[in-house]
Amino acid sequence: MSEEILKVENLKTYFFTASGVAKAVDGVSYTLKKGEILGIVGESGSGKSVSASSVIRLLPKTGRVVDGTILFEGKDMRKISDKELRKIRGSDISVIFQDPMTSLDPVFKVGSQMVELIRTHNKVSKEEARKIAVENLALVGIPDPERRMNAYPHELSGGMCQRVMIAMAISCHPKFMIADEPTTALDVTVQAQVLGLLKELQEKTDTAIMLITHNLGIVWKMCDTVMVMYAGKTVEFADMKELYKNPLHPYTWGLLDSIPKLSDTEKAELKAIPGTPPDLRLTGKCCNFYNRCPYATDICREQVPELVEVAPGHKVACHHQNGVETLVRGKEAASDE
Amino acid sequence: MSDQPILQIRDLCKDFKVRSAKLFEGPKQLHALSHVSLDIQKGETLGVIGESGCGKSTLGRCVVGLHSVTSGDIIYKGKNLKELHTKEERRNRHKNIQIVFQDPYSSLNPRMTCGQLIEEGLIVHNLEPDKKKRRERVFAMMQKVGLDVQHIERFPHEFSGGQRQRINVARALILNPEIIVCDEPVSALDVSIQAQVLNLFRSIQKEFNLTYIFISHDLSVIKHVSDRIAIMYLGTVVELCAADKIYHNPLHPYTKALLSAIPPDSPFETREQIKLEGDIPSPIGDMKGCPLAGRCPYATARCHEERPQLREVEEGHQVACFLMEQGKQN
Repeated sequence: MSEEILKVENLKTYFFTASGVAKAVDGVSYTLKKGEILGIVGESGSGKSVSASSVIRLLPKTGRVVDGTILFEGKDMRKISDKELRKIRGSDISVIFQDPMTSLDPVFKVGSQMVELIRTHNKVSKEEARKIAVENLALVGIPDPERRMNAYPHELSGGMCQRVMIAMAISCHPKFMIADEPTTALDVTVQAQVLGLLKELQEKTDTAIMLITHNLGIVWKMCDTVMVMYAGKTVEFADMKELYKNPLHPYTWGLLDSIPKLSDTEKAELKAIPGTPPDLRLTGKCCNFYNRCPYATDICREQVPELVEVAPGHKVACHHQNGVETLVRGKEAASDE
Repeated sequence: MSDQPILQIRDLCKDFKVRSAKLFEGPKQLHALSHVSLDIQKGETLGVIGESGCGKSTLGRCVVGLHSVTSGDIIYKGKNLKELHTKEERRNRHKNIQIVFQDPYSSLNPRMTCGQLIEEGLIVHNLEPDKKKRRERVFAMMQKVGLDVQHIERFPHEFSGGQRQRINVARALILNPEIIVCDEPVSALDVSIQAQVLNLFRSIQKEFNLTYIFISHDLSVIKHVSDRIAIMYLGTVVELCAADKIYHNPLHPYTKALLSAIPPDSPFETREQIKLEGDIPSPIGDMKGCPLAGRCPYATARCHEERPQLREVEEGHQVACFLMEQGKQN
C-alpha cells in the first residue's frame, strides 16, 4: 500500500493568452499511493482538471507546464519523449472524462473504438481484442454486451456511455486512472451506480485513481486522501477522515459550511463564502484567499503562504495555521455579524 | 393551511408530439406530465425534485404559461388560467407569476445592459412610465439583490455566474410577483456561490412574502429551501410531504432509492441502500401501470397493470404506491 505511484511537486501550469498569463495551476503538490483514491476538490477554475491533465500532457496549445516535477513510477513525466508518453497514455494511465456523450467518437461504433484502443497497446488479433472488449463491457455491467458492441454512442444513455468509457479505461489494466468529474453529467441514481462500479473495480484491480469532483459527498464516499484546491494552489492535503474531522484551512471550512446538508434539522442560513474567486492572471503575490477570508490579516496580503506539513500526511497552506493553530473555526465569522 | 391555496394544479397533463423513428408512421406522444395535482399555499416554498426528464421543468413552464397545457387546470387565486380572455387578465398573470431560469449564461440577452435587463419588465407592463423613477426602482432592486449599482451599464458577460443569477432574480422581482418559479436556479453555480444565492432567495421571500415553486435535482438544496417537497418520476408526482419527513420517513420506493443514491454528508454516515436497476424508461407512447414498476424491487403484478394514485397516508404526507395502501389495510 505504501508504494508511491505518482508524486507531483510544486507543479505550475500557466496559460499564455493574449490578455496575459493565467496561472491556472500555481504550486500543486500531492502524492498518490498504489491502490489509493485521491480526491481533488475545488470550485470551477481552481485548476483541478488542469493539474490532472498536466500529468499526461493533455494541455491545449496555450498551456505549458513551467515548473515542478511529476514523477510517475519514478519516471519524470516532463522529460519523457512523446513516443514514450503515447505508450503510457491509455495503457498505464487512462482517463475518464466528464461528459461521456462527447468523449466518445459519434461516427464509430462503441466496439470499434474499444478494439482500436486495445490493439494500439497490445499485440492481439482483432478477434481477440473484440473478445477482451466484450468481457470488459460485461464487467462494467452493460447488459447484452455482444449486441452493444455494434451500437453507436448516440444509441446509449448517459450512464451507459460512461460505463463504456470506464470499460475502455480499464481495458489495458492501467496502474493509474484519472477520473475527471465522471458523474457530473449524470443523474443521482445513475451516479450512484457508476461510483459503485468504480470503487468495485478499484478494489479488484488495485488501481490508483485520481478523482476530480466538486461534490464533497462523493469524496466522503470514495476517497482515501483529499486535496483541496483554490485558485491554482493546493490549500490543504490530508487523509479523507482527517480532513472531515479536523480541517485546518479557512477555505476548507467555508466549503464544508456552505453545502446544505440532508441531515440538517433546522433551516439556518447557509454560511456562504462572500465574494468570488480571484482573476487567475493576478494571483500569486499574496494568499489567494485573503479577500474572501474572514480571518485575513496583513501578512496574508503580503506573503504567499507555503504548504506546510502540520501533522503526518496533513499539509496546509495558511499563514495562521502552519504548525501552531491560531484560528478557531467560525469564531471570527460570528463576531462579524 | 385552511386558506384557499394561491395556486391549484388539477390533473395537469402535457404531451409533446415527437416524430416517429419510422418513415411513414405518424407522430408519437411524449407524456411529459400525466395527471399532476398540487396545491400551493401563499408564502410557502414547494420543492419539486426528480431526475432529468421527469417533467419538473415542464411543470414550471406550464405554470408560467410558457407551455400550453394539454388537459387539466391551473387555478391562480380562484381564477382558471385557461379562461383568461382579456389582454389585461393575461398581463396580470404574467406579471404575478415569474420565473428564474437555470442557466444564467444563456437566459440574459447579451446585448442589453444590466439596467436595461432589469427595467425591461417595467416597460413591458407599463408599470412606471416615468424614466427617472424607473431608474430609481432599478437601483433599489439592484441593491436589494446584492448587485453593485455602479455596474448598471455593464453587459451580462462582464458578470460572474452568481451575479448573473442575481440579475435574473432582480428581473423577476421588480414586477412585484406573488409566485416565482425557480427552475434549477443554482445548479450551474459553484457551491460557495450557490450558498450566497440560496441565502438571497430566502431573504427576499421573507421580505416580499413570496411563494416559490423551487425546481431542482439536488435533494439537499431542495430540503434546505422547501417547506414541502414533491418528488416526481416520469411525469407523475410519486410522493408529497413536508420537507423534514422526506429524510426521516420516506415512503415511496423511488424516494428511498433517491435518498440512498445521494452522496453522504460525512464519511461516517451509513444509509439504507436501495438500488434501482437500469435507466429511466422512455416517456414516449402509452404507459400502463406504475411508472416505476420496471425498476422497483418490490413490484408486484398489480403494479404493472394499474397506475397508483396519490393518496394521503399520514397528515400532510401523500404517496402514490400500492405498497402503502396494503400496509394500511393490514
